[in-house]
Amino acid sequence: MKLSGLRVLLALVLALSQVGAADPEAAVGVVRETLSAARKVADGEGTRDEKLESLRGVARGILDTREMGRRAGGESLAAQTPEKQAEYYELFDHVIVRAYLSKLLLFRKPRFGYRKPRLEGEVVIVGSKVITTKDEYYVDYEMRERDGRWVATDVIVEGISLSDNYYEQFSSLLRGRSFDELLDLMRRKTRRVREEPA
Amino acid sequence: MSALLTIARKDLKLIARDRAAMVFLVLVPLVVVTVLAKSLAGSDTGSLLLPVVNEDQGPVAEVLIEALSEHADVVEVDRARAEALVGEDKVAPAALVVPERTTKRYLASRPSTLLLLTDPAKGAAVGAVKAYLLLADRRAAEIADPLFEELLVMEERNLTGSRASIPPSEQNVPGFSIMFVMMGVLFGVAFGLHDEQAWGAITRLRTAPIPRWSFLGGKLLARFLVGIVQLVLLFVYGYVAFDLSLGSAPAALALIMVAVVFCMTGFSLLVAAFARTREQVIPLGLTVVMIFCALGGCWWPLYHMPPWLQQVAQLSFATWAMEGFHDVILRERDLLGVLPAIGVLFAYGALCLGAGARLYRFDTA
Repeated sequence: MKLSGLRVLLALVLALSQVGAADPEAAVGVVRETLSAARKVADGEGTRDEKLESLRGVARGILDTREMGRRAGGESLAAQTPEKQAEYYELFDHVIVRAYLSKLLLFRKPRFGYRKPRLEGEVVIVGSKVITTKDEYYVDYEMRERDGRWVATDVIVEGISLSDNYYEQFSSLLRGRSFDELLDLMRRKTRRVREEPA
Repeated sequence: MSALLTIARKDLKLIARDRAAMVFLVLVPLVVVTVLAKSLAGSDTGSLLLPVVNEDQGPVAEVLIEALSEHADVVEVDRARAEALVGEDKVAPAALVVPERTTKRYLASRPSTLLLLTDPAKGAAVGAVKAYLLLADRRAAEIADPLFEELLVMEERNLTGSRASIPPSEQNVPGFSIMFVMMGVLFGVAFGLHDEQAWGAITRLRTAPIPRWSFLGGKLLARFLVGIVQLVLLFVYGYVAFDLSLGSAPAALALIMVAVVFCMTGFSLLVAAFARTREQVIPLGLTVVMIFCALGGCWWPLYHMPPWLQQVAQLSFATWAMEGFHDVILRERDLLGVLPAIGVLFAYGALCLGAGARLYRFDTA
């Protein structure tokens, strides 16, 4: 009897621990929808610029560019004034969306496949792959639930995290230059991108 | 005044009597202008062969190949074939190797090194390939991450020698040396034989117990030796004045020189046999010298010409002479490596010598 009571208690504790935990399938659904929408835009009617604008919208729908920017900026970003931070986040949004799309657009008529999602605490890692006739390319999405919707707080392409990649790039840049110079570089790069869309 | 007109009328009659000379007078500029125009038009034909070794098999390689195909004839081959097309067959100035995992590294914003295997003997064409690669790289950059540059790095490897670039003098010195030695040997042989006939020396020799071949052989040997000395002097001058490389195989260079002048000597006898009069020697000689040099790559690299003209150029011994010199000087090949060119030159010369000896008429003065 005692043993049975313990079992019930354990079951209750386990059940309670699942309340509020992430639903991996919901995260997978968001990634699927995003990639499917991107595919639809790429295959649909419209000029190249119109398609890119639509794709930017699709990308912004899933990417939490602020969180990615925060990670990429690291401690240097935290030490900046709110104005500089605001400008950094705005510029980073352009950079990261462009970076994400550049990876996606490399493939013509891509086929997407999905692997079993992995639950890591509050984070769900949704593994996707771009399948071509000759190879497969892995793109994992680090998904978190924010304000009732699933967003990607990082994208891991072929094992390399986009946020970590930018963190390394920015850290190396900031070793020899100031944060203002980094902002200036981002301004110039994003201006060029805006002038010559993709 | 009337005397002046009479003399002019008489000279015109003399010139008109030599119809062959008249034909050459009109034909020379027409033929030379046509060959020059066609040769120089070749650089815009976009007929450059560019082998690509696609080890990546991913979309980055596809984008590069697509962009390069707009400017060159891109063929996808394996590494061994690419090296053969550049190094042994010498039909492509360069080959591009897109290594494995280029797309994966590109996606991960990690740089990849593309390998450009080159034949610096085709310097200008290699330059064109590099320009095409820059254009292709720009195409790839259009879809690249804006903060990560230089994701595709180029490494150049000389497949045919040890030097990365070739100065223009190493094309010009052998080319113009061939032209001047050819002029010297050809006019020397042709004028010499016609002068001997005019002076009646041949008629006298025919009565003497001297075989025909030793008369011709003696005259040709003298011109051959003069040609060798002239060619050696020009190369020594090029070495001293223009830092011309003489390659790493002196025996190969020496044998190529001998083969080239031997071929020129045989060819000169053939031209002398065709020129019936002394007056015909200059237009006929100039025609063949100019056409053979233009076609043979003495004035500009052979690969500047359209492919069909490059095929026609194989009929000019100057093409084989230039190829032989390039093999020794620019590609640093040894004797074994230049044997094909040497073989062709000796065979060409022997054929011309035989045909010239058969066609040359001792009794026409």
